[in-house]
Amino acid sequence: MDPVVERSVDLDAEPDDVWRALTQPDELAAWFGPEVQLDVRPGGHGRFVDDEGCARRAVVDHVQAGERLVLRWWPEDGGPGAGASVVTFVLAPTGSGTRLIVTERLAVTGASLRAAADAARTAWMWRLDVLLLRVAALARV
Amino acid sequence: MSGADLDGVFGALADPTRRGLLERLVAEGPDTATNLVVGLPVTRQAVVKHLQVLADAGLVTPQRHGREVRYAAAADPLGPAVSWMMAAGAQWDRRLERLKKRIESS
Repeated sequence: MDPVVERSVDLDAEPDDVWRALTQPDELAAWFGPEVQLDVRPGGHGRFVDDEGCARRAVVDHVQAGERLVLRWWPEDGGPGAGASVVTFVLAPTGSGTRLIVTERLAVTGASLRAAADAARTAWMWRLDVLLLRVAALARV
Repeated sequence: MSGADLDGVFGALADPTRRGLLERLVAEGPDTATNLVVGLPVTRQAVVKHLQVLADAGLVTPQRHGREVRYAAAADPLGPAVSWMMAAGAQWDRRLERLKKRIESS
């Protein structure tokens, strides 16, 4: 089974507003990270730079306005085979707003696991912080 | 990696002295208990015990050089897949938190 993460968030906003936040580059950049370009149509290209300075190239696979957006991205310095993952955004209206569900699935190939392992090694100190947050979360349960 | 293994990792990291030891090994490279105890308010024996807990969790590896044992931070104790999941999950947590703030304040 490929490694996958799923997160969801309930937003006090209409699906159309959430869709705009996902698809308009200046709106996207406001929450995603320092730099985002995205051409939201099937086959459209994009570029994402995250908080850690990691730049990714992206291609849009699927667009269903207001409901579903699927894209593939991969580290810019690795090429499409290395560390590629599929990111899916699903918007579901709730009684009072919108639930946004994000899944990211790493396509496991030799190259992608090597890239993931390299990234993990260089992010060692940072990952310790992540572990500690997790420890703190467990301690609260 | 099984849930029991992860519990071992979290348990090992729950102690501030062990976190300090691990951070030092990550930052400064392999070292002995004798050197690591310098500046700590605990005995060498206590440091050895802490290092053993970290070793049991797979976070450090003891390396024997003659009579001396040097401890090294394990390069990737969680395995690449779990590491990726923790890193990617934490990134989405931060992004979605920002999205929620932004969208609900506008």
